[in-house]
Amino acid sequence: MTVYFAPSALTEAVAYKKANPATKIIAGGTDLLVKFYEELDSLAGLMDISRLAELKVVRTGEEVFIGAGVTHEEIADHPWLQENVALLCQGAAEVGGPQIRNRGTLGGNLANASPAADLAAPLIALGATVELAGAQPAALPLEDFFTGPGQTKLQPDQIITGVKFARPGANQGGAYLKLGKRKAMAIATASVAVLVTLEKGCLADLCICLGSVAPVPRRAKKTEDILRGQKLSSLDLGPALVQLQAEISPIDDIRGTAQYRRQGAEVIFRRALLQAINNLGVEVNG
Amino acid sequence: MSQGYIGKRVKKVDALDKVLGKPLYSVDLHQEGMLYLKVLRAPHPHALIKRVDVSKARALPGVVKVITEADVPWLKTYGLIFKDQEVLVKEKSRYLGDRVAVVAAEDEKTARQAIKLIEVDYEPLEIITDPLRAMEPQAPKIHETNQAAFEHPYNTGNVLAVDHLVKGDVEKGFAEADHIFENTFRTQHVDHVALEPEAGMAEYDAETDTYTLWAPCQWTHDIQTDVAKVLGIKVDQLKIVQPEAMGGAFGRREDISVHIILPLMAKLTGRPVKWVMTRHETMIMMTKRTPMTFKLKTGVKNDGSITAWQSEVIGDTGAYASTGASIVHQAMYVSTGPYNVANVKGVSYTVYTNNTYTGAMRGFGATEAAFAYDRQMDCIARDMGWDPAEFRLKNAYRVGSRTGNNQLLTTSVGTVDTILTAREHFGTKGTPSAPHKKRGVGLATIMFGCGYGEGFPDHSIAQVQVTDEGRILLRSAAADVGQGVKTIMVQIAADVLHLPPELIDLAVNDTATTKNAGSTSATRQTIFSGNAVKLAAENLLGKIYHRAYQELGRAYPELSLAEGDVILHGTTKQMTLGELAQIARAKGEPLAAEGCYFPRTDINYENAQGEVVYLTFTFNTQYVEVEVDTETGQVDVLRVVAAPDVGVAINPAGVEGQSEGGVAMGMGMALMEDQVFKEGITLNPDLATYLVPTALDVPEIKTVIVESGDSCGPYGAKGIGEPAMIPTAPAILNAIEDAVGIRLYDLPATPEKVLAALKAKAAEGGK
Repeated sequence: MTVYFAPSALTEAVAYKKANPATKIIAGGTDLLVKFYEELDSLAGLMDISRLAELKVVRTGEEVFIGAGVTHEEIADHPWLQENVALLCQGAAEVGGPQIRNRGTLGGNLANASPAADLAAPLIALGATVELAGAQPAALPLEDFFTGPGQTKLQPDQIITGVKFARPGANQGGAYLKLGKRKAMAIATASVAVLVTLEKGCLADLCICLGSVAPVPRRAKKTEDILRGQKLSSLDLGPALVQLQAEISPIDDIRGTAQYRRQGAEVIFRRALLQAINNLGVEVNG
Repeated sequence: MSQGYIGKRVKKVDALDKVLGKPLYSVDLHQEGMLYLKVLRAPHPHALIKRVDVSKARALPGVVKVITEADVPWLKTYGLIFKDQEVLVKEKSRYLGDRVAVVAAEDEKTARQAIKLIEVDYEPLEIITDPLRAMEPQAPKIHETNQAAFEHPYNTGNVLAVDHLVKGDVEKGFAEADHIFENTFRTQHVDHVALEPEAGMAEYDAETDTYTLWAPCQWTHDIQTDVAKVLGIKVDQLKIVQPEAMGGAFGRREDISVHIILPLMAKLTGRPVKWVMTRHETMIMMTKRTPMTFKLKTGVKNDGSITAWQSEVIGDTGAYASTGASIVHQAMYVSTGPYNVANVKGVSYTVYTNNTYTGAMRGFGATEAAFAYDRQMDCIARDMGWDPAEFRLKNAYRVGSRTGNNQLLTTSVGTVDTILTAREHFGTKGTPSAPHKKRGVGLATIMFGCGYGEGFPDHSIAQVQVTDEGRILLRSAAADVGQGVKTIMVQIAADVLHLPPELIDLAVNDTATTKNAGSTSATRQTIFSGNAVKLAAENLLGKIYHRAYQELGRAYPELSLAEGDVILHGTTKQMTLGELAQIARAKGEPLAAEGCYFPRTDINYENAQGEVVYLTFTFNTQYVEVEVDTETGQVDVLRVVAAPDVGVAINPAGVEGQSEGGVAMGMGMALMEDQVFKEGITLNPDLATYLVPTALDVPEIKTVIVESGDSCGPYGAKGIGEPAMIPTAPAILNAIEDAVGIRLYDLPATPEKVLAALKAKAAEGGK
């Protein structure tokens, strides 16, 4: 017998999860119902958090908060987010198809911890922190949250409540690109999110996060180091692209070979970087 | 001459009900007290089954029955042509979809749990996944009993069939050629991906010893025959009821799926039973498109005329024959496409492996063949500096051409018209959307022989009657798998009888009250059931006129039929059809008639030559424009123009629907669909990893119908179901070559393959 419980307040959810740590959390169900198709009765319990109003909040401003229960479609369609963090909206718009985007949530996308998760890479590029409710509220950099395919640092008594990040400045621009085998309902063969900071004609800072090319969404920090400080007028991507290859470890699977993922990651990284810069009204070639 | 319902966009007769969600699909069926079935599949693709222990499953509360082969040793084997398939495997498994045990339980959950409690000990054998390995003399035999009746070095036990075609003298033809072109092309395992999975329900009546089965069938009567044989009963002990609606078929519902196990378990449990396969099960267990390798050799003169064509085809039928051998030899027969070649030689091998077995799928060999011949034609045109369309026009069949089977084409040959029409409506290609993208245009021109052909007895029977209410009841077993044959039949009956389509009702489709209409396959129902309905309606019209003449004392032209009334001109006297029907019935001559269309075809299997090998041919040319991302290898199909020659379009909207669906299906085959096997195990048995095109992938498709008329179908019509998809894959690969100059020989053209070819080309150019 699988026990189904739908709390109406976050405190209630936290208490229930503490008492029933084996219970699976369900929101949109777009991953869980597929993974446990015909096996739902094997689950000890399900806690449905889709009624928790606290998790459906989007707070805009200098500090942005997006609740774990916010759907992909709500992110993709959010005018303020589109204006200020377009790369995140691009990621949300790339998730599955309309039905999945209308049911699937940010929290679920992160908890499922797919290396291909379309929200993970843009949020890591934005420097987001994931907020957790539990015995003690906790927060940790999203970059450190994932520990392997399907694995995170989330403890059995914890619930993801949302993500927080600083609004990008006027001199910051981003892009998210995904390589898939078709135009919708495709799990990424490779994906990349880039956030750049431009100052005085230079690539003052940047953050690169790649999906589907490592066991977890992977920051390419040494590639960032190579590019950081470069003049846009003489941008040299060559050494960075070589370094990028050293920072990813793709595998062969049904969606693509490691070799193709390497080739694809390089192409979409270059395109995303240039797009991020171009989005700030600066024309560069690379 | 048509009376007004032919060539019209008559609304599909079942459209409104489907939109309203009214018709019941097999998955929706339910009966009080019914049990749920689940099947345990083989633990290994090729293994000796040493022991099956079902005791724990039987002990599980809620389990009503568990059977293995040992419980039903009297069951016969089955198969569409060769009876090589066991309902439950006895000694060994031959692929991962083989069934070891069946559970009937009070609910699905219990049935699932019971399956997990069954223990199977087995001894693994070599898994044969490559047909070339299967053909080696020392390869283990997959079917110990395969006694193929032919002499051939490859007849080592795993070769199911070897077929030949000889037309003219191919060596003489090659000697006359100025150029010889040799290429090898390969097609892949493709799943039908019908929206509705295999499913059904059955019940058994002990008093009358009869069975009723509700399950989708492309041909109810043929499945009835096969199932009855396996169960050891007479055909009339089994009634098959076609469910009100079917979620697609594409050839796969010609094969047995749930049709034996359901009635068997209904009898063994004494309860109604239902079985719905999961997508995962259908992907592993059910038939696929037959993968083939084509070695083509073509001789061409400097003037572009083709003097000789040699084809060797090897097809992987998988673990069982189904219709594999016919599919593979048909692929070889038609491997010269709609192009004139005086000297042709072909050989085909159909080979058993431990892959999922293959069977009919949209095209029945012609789709695979067209990929090979239309790529071959394109490669030759490019290598010889011909415009690809002009090269096809130079060699295209016209009236007076003889096919590879040596059939003289006397009428309704629209090859040239389809090329010219598609080219005209296509126009020119646009400019690329980005510097790293390149555009290309490709075309392919195909032909498809409608009907089973090859001398196979092929017929359809339809019945019509006037009811006492003055309505027309039309009985036909023709399966409407979504393609619209119900609408076509109603249009034809309405046209012949001068009645609005709303007055025509379709009877329930079951084996007890309808007669054989043959299969909804081979692009044959418009021709066969269309003709049968037309003949039946004409017979009925004759009876109506005769009865009216007897009752009213007048004949044509003073008497006519309009809107359901029999009208006498020049008087006020008239009679409703219902009144006439009542009178006729009272006099023992009811207004009911039957029509049967049963044309003859022939072939000599020694050399595959014949006079009428196929009844008539549908032609189709498609032009596609693609854009290739030269950095990622991704291919966007930007637009498609299709120009099918359907003889006469009975319902243009129906033709367009088929054309658009066919293009989408062809796109999947061209670019992404591929069931990937590793050691006989499917790596992508779900729709998250087995990808088909989505609405965002499929572009604008413009269908321009070509009507060459004068075919053997009703009003000159030909079929469209299969030929709708056949040109798409070669056209797309031809367009890719046009865009970026890479020559791809294998399907599908994934981004990975395209990129690898681009890099290989760049490396070659850099030398």
